[in-house]
Amino acid sequence: MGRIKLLVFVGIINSMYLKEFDILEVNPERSSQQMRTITCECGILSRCDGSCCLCQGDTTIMASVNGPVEVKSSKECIDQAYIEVTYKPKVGLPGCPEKSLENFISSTCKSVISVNLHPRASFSIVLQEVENDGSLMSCCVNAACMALLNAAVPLNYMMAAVTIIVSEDGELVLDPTEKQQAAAVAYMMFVYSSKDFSLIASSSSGQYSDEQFQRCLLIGAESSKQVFKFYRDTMEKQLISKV
Amino acid sequence: MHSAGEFCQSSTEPLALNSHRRGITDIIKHFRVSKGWINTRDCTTVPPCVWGDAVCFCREVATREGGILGWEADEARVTVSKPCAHILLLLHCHLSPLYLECHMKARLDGREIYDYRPIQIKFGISQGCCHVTLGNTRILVQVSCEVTAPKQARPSEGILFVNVEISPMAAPQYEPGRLTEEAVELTRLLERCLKESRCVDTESLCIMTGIKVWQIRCDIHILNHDGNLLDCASVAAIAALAHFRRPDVTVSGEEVTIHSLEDRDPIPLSVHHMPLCVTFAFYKQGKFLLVDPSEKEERVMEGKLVIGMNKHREVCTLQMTGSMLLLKDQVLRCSNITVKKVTEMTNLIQKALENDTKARSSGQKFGFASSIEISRLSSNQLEATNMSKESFEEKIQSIVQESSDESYTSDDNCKTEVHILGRGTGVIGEGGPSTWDVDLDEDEEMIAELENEQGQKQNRREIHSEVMKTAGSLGDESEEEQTITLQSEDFSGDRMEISAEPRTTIDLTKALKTEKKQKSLKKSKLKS
Repeated sequence: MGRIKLLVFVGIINSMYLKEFDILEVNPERSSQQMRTITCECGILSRCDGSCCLCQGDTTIMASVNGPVEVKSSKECIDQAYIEVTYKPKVGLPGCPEKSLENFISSTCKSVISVNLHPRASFSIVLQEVENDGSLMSCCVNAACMALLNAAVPLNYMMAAVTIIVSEDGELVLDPTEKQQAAAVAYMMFVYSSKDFSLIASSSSGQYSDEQFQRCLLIGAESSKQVFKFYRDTMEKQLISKV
Repeated sequence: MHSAGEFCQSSTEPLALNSHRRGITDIIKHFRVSKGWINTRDCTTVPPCVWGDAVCFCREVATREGGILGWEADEARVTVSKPCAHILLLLHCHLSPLYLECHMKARLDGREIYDYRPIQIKFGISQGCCHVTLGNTRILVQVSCEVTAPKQARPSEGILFVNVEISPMAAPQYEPGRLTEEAVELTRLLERCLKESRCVDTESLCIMTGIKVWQIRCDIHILNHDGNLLDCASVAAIAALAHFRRPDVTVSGEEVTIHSLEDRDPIPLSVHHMPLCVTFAFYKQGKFLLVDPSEKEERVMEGKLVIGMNKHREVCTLQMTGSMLLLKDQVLRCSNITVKKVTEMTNLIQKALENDTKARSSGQKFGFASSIEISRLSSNQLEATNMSKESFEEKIQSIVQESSDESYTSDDNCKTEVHILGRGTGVIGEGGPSTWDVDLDEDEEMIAELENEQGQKQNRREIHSEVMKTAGSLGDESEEEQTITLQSEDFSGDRMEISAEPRTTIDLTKALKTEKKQKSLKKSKLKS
């Protein structure tokens, strides 16, 4: 009995302190409906086909893409490419939430990448957490898209993810920090396509009203346009310099 | 003859030349142009020849004064004669693709023999997060802590745990979640370097002897593998350990309080010294050595020597691998080089740590996001901007109104009714008591009927097997390809009726009811 108590105690301390270390001061200047500064550097890794390091505020993800490459015979699809996503947390081994994130991104990428152009091949996307300060999932999606662009993988359209939370006093906060996210009542994450800014994937938890959902959906679509503009600018900067 | 700065191939080049060979010429050209110590005009090229798997690139190397330094053609390398013994051209060829080690005072990337690639140390926002680049090699280390029970053999010491993670991000040959031999060797060497040198005071990590101690976990993520992972990882690991802060603890009797960050300032680990590893690659039976081999150089090396040392000239680790023998003074020479390199690197780490604490205390920007250079062509930044709210707000209002209207109308359409089934049970919406009046004795009848049907099915199966047999006798061997033709007589047991219009919907309730009526009629007849 005593042992079980001790184990529980250890678990709580562990999660508490890891969180505590990551909690940062909230920028008081930022309004609730403003994305944090997005910074990105492409092609930073030399051994893979495409890579990028994307920061949304302080949340930083490093992404690498290899593909199209040979696929294991057990995972081969005869009519389309297989997409393998690996998410690596900074501390410890990947667990259930990490696996679910991998699944979410791989199924989203399946619609984004022109998988039918590469039958019997695979694309492997690796996402490494470098810093977590909230909106981790949307940062992962955006980093994956940027890395795919850098690897020159044929895409049907680009994708951009936006996280919105409903705070305790019912306010909608765009691109929340870790602290805001921990205190949120509801959490929503939308992925939009660049074609017509339509929704291609979503993930949510907590309780929210229909009105709040509709509002979030619109705010998300509007701010996804900024992310697409950012992709475009980044690519333009590189391409113009090469000419 | 040849224009300066350009490498021209002889016109008598044999046809056997392939793209690999072109690779060599490109590298040599690059090397010479970048270093510029040999004038191309003085260099005569002889077409490369092939000996089995090895390719030999025969050439005469001349000094600016015009004297030939010499060449060697019967082996896969060309060396120069005594006057410039330290100037050597080493061509090392493997099967395919051709790996080339071209070493002539300078290396492929223009470095000298004892040069390190540029080292960059960055710290993250969370304590104990360090990101080190050594040329193109990139490593991320995160140190974390948790409270655990100590090891039984050492009840009063904390635990230091080293974990190396290698993913396909580092290089495509690695698989996620599986440690290769190389990664295991790396983990062991780092453990030896960090744990057995006792650089971190583990006794200060004890909270209650035999019950609770801190476990310091050091996760090392290889982001990009471009050779010499060990040196890079050792720098990153020790820098992260020195950067890490653990929460403060007070013990009063049996009670342990772990203070939060707001409560008390977290305390750093006591790092006694900084053991760092330096790797040497050896070629030609230990004759030639290179410091900080890159990935290409590592592929062709014959063996390597790792020396772990701290600033105080204390050797913490020494390991030699590969198929070669080293002379005593060769090892001594290496340790002398290590002393210099370790002092340089320790100073660098301390400077980086100082800069970080300065930035944190003065409220400047720190962390990875602020360390990206926006001026680079490959990077970009989007400042936080507000959305145009006015037009947007209207749109939201209209859509929200619409959706709310919809929800109201849908509410009006389906008025929910509560059916009371009995005492304590109620049903909302669809459901309620069964309206199909099915009696129990009828159920029994149905079962009997089902049994009857099954009997008929068995009959049918027998017919099937007969047909199969006849088909089999015709000579068809594979069962899958057998075609069975059933004739109308076979169905005499249970007649099937297919309605002419398949799309017309059949009201099942009606059908059942009529059937039931017929049955009840039959029943009454039987009774009478």
